[in-house]
Amino acid sequence: MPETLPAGVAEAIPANLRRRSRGLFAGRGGAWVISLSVLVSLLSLLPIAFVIGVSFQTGWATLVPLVFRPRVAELLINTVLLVVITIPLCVTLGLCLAWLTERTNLPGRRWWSLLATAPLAVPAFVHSYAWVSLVPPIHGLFAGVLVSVIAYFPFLYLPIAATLRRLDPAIEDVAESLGLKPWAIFFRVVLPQLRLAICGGALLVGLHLLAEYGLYAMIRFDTFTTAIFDQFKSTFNGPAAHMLASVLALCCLVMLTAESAARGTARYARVGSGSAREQRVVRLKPATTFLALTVQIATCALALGVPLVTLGNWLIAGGTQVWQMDELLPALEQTLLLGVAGAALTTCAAIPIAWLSIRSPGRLQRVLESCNYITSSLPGIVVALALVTVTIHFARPIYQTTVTVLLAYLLMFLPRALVSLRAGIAQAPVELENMARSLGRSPARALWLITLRLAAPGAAAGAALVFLAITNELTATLLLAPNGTRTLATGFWAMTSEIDYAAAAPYALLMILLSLPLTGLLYHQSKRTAGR
Amino acid sequence: MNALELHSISKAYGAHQALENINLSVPTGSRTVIVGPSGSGKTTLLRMIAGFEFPDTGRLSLNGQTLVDETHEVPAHQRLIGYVPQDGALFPHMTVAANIGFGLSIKGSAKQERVAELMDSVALDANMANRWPHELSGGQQQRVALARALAQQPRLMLLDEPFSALDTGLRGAMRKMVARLLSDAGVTTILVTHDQSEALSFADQLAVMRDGRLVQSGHPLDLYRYPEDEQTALFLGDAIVMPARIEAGWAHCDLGRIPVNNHRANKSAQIMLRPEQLQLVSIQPSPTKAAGCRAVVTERDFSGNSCTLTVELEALASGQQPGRSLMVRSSGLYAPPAGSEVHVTTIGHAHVLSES
Repeated sequence: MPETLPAGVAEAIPANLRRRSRGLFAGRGGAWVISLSVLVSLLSLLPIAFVIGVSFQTGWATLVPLVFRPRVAELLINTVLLVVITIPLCVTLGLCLAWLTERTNLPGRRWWSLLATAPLAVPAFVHSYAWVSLVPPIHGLFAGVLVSVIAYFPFLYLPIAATLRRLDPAIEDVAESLGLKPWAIFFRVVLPQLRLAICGGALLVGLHLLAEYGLYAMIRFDTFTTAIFDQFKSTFNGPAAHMLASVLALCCLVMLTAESAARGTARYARVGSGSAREQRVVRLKPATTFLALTVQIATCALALGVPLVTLGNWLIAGGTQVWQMDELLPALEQTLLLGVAGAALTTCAAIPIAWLSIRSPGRLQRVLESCNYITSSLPGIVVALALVTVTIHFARPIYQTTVTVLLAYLLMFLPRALVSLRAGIAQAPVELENMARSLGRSPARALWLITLRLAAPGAAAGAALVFLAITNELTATLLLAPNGTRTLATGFWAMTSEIDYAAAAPYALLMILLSLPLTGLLYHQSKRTAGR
Repeated sequence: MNALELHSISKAYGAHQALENINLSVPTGSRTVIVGPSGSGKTTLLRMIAGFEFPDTGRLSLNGQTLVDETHEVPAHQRLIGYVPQDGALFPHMTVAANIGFGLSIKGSAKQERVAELMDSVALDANMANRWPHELSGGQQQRVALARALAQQPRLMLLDEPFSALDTGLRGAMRKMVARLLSDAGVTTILVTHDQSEALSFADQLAVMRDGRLVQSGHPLDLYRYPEDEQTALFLGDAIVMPARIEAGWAHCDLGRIPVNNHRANKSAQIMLRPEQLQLVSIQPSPTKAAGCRAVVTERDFSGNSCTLTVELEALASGQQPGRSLMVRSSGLYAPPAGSEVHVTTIGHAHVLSES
């Protein structure tokens, strides 16, 4: 910024350079935006730095026996089995449901589509709470896979359905005219175009499988995350927990790499202009319709029926007694406070990076963005351990305070805000701002009247997604929250830990009710990005 | 009296020289068209005039007021320059009326009246005032964009390929409407386009850009008939370019002897003729010597009202390679069929191109 340079230096800079840097400041957001995004991204590297740091600090001699031992192998096998069984099942289920609701004349397909999104409103650990209450002996790998598929298949359903809707029907027409049979069209033309959606959704499910604590703890299935948590509880902040966290972080990075390799570099966009026609709808035969409806009903019964029925049973069994308002209301208040504060903080922190990625994309911006994505892919438990360690050693005053909790939310959920915010800012191309300036509005007024107004819905959606994530967040909140903090999730957890399932039911219900509108928003958004 | 003056404007993006030493004067009330292939820098130049970009060096002034020079720059919102981009860039969160009234500082009923007046002037129906941009057709969006730019009574109007998104029939009609509207309002206008026929028909003054440089400017007819070089000649329309020997006002070439307008020293040069300067005469049975030279029609491309013929000139001496192929325009109905023998004659002057 030439304004801040000493006179002599400013004169020494050639006129064209001065102009260009000033243009950057005025037009593209400038140095302060860049510094803010660098700051946020550096902060997001904290957990990675922690993982690397503790590995060095522990030293090779201590590290080897901690990492290469039967327990770690056992956890690794559990985790790998969970991932390799659950993900293909989720992909298959998501693909089936998406094809049925988008491409067939299945009766009530709009409703089925909504119902396939709805399981997202039920936190994963509430799913397993429902199953444990329904079938108490359920445990182990089978239970883990069952509940994971039920809890996470919408992450695949949503992007696949959105992409199916957006595909250019002309491509399928061409394939047919080239002599392909319907099945061949699906496998050779449609499925390859779904690759990005499937890879993205599978990654999301995979990361959840690695990160989830409550779901697996409740059905007594040991994964890295549950083991780290147990280790943390027994030895607090010891090297054993740290080393497990490092291995877990490594698993996540492997998964990220695998996904980006599978995604490839191909672009699957509609080429050419002109308005797209409606998708072709396949007419199902009566027998197929019956089969399809069975699949839909079974999925709904497992994914929505089980939690709702169990919850209803507990609520009826518990009666008015379980509605302990003096405990429930403070928990609700805490949750709302943390949710709102976390959403506001995260959205604000995402603004500079989102701005850069739309208004002046480049290599720096891509590096910054990927920093944030990597951190958010790390399990909450790793982020939490990192923050515990760092605050104890370097920032004692904020150890066990709300500030640390909010910081953890920021690191974990920044990309959710980022994605929506970026879409919002993209709604306001710089050309419109220019237009307003040429019509006599000052740059600040143009920003306010045009860009902020157009980006606001995207920012709101991003904030809502972060809020949703925070209301259901368990692991990091358990580890980091100051004593006496009780959110709906931790309250629920405390009750189930005491095997008081009836008392836990109101917490679960409140969490579901809080999530419902936001799940609706997610559903609506996926329809809109598809242009409907 | 010139409204806009550009003095040695240059701009580079990294190593890429987007604009190089541009000088241009735009007379008050005129319609200037900047034409060039895509990537020639014409849009950059337009955005610079609007104030969205700034030159590295050079000076830009409007009605005597300096907009940009070495020491200071007037920002876009203080320039009072109207701008209509290719897609209209209507504000998606505002109705048609709100879009048009965006630049107006008046309020209340006075504003409403002015908006209605503007809508009328661009032939938009009054009941469209409450529509949203996405409910309008491409042509209607362009009219709203134009009305919005006209609302602030700009000192200069910039049009960035405003017709290119419209279909062919509508494009011509819109172009005429805009031209009439702007000359009635007496607004100096600069239009940027890559479409040569649009450029020729809209312009009082035409400026041809290529690779960030302004290669030629002047009256459209002059540029069409007397382009500086072969590239400009071909960019503005079909052209026949052939080598010739220039001698005392005459060009000696494959077509025989043709008068030239701008005879240079006696030497070889490239000459240019437009296809419509060639005429075909069917060969008379009588042996009287006709002007021009003999040729055979090899291809006939019929397109309704006109017909483009390819003729092959007769080899000058036997044993030589076949003669030069030329493109000739002919009326669609009476064009000679392929294979007919014809005489090719020329009308008017040939133009001697400078060596490029």
